[in-house]
Amino acid sequence: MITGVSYVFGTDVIAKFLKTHDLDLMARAHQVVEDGYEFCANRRCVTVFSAPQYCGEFDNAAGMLLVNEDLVCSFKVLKSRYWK
Amino acid sequence: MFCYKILFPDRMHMLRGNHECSSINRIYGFYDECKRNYNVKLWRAFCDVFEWMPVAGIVSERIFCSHGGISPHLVRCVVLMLKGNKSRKGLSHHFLHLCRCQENMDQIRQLQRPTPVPDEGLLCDLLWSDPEPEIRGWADSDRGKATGSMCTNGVPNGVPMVYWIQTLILFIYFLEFFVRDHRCVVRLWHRCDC
Repeated sequence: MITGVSYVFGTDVIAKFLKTHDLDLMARAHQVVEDGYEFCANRRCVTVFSAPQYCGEFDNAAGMLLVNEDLVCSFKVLKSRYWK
Repeated sequence: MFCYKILFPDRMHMLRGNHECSSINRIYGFYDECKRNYNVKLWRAFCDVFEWMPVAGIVSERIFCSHGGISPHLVRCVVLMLKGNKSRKGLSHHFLHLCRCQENMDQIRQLQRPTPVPDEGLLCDLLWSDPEPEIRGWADSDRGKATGSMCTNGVPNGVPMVYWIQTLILFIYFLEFFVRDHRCVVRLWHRCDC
């Protein structure tokens, strides 16, 4: 049997990690998300994916996380010019 | 993106993703595109740079950033240190807490570079793991299994620059002009053209 690479982790793991390190948010990429960004774990974890229409096989938008000087987070979402 | 890193080294930060690894981007299009538009030597040069890229970052001590997520190796370290610290009763809880965090993040800082991405361990997990709302704790990932990959069929025509940029989480400080106008972003991506 072929084993997978690495692990998946639950919401509880994220909460524990953030608490341990006194952090507010985990920002990561690595998974295609339709709107360019997607929260999980009660908005304590966000997936940001900045390649629109990934591999030509997805219709996803591109997302960017903007963090201002006061650490207020917002998102910039770009849809492809060739959006159907 | 590297051009911008060179221009604004202190204001532009790029993190390594699982595709910033020769064994992966050899297969999933980046090699083909380098070869088609330039040469294999350029691809090797990119791979050399990828091996130096940082794998995690923290924005203003509040936002933890990595391409994939976190690692049970990191968490296990916390548990072990909690146990170890029980004996040090003379130290305040706050102090111990700071010690733990420092030690823990030092694990990431102490990752030796340049390095390829290993098949397992802390570095691998930071680049490969995923959150999974349906579970508690940790479970094995399906990633990399024969049918689990998102691009099983490969990308016959190579993957353009904008596609492999997805592997980078991009944080820009004070460079609002860069993100304010998407046409500007598109132009910058095209300027790199590699």
